[in-house]
Amino acid sequence: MSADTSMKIAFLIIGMIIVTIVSRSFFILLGNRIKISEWALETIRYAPLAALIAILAPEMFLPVGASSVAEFNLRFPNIWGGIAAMTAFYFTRRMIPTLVIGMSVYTAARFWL
Amino acid sequence: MTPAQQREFIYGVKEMSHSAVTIVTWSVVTGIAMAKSTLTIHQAIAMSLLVYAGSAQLAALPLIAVGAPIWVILITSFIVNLRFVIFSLGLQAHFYYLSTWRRILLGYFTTDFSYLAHLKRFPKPETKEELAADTEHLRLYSMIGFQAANWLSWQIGSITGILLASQIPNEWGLQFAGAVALVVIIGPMLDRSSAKWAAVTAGSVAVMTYGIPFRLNIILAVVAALIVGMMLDRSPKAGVIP
Repeated sequence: MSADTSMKIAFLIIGMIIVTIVSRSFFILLGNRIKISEWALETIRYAPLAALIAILAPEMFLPVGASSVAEFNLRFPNIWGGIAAMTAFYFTRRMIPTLVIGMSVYTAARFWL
Repeated sequence: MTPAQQREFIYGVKEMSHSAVTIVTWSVVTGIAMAKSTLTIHQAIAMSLLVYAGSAQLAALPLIAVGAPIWVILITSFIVNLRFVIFSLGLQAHFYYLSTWRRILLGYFTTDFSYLAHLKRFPKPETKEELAADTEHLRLYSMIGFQAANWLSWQIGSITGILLASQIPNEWGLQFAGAVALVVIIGPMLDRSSAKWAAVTAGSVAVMTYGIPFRLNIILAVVAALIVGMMLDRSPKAGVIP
């Protein structure tokens, strides 16, 4: 890697550290200069749930490296593994059976579809 | 730390260790992706230890590979991180009383998992009276426990992934295992119809808008889910819908 590129990566990493700090401490940085209303707190109640799902759903319903929803198709093994995992979790509520059943169906779907 | 603070810290570490399987799977996947990218091992380890934002790192890798300008990569990682801006509103309500440096540190270490764990334990911020009575700031110490366990398990997984990337075959489907492990974290949160509809909304919007520039699909999904959750909780019938 050239010195030029590694300088660029170094700047990028510093920039990304600043992005992490600024985004994660955005409002808390203001300290007691603002007062968050109860209404606002109620509204953002589902934010962590929605964020995890927004990260998870494309992993489950779209192929790796997909560029849009147009690439959705039922031959994609993640969909079947995902449905199996959700079903397994619904009935067992436990990590191990969910992982085992989800991964087995995913692996089987990769061979047969 | 006083004994009570220590107890809270240990509680936090233990509680977060229940999510360790999920965190480690995601972090190994992130580590492998970094090792297989154009980054050197040193750059990958530095990014993991210092940037500490898995989804932003994963979004940055393909952009680095095609030689995108730095500002494009930084804007993308900020937009991927916009959900944390929303979380920081909640953090402010809970921890506004801390000194500036502690607030910055607390913000920096607050990931999806630690924010979730804190809100699960303390859905509402302390009232003025509770805060005055809580001289040891016990709520802060369970949060530090969540964050410490989260940071450690993330870094162990991420650095393992970076170093062992060539030994871990794609056929294991580790990335999909991460997705399955997340199902177990999300499942228990769907305890009300409004939560379920918010979840369905977030999932559909995230998939439908996947591939739009700057990974805007994540924040669009979050905002849509908040709107649906808010509307359902206001309507008196909300509890009736299965």
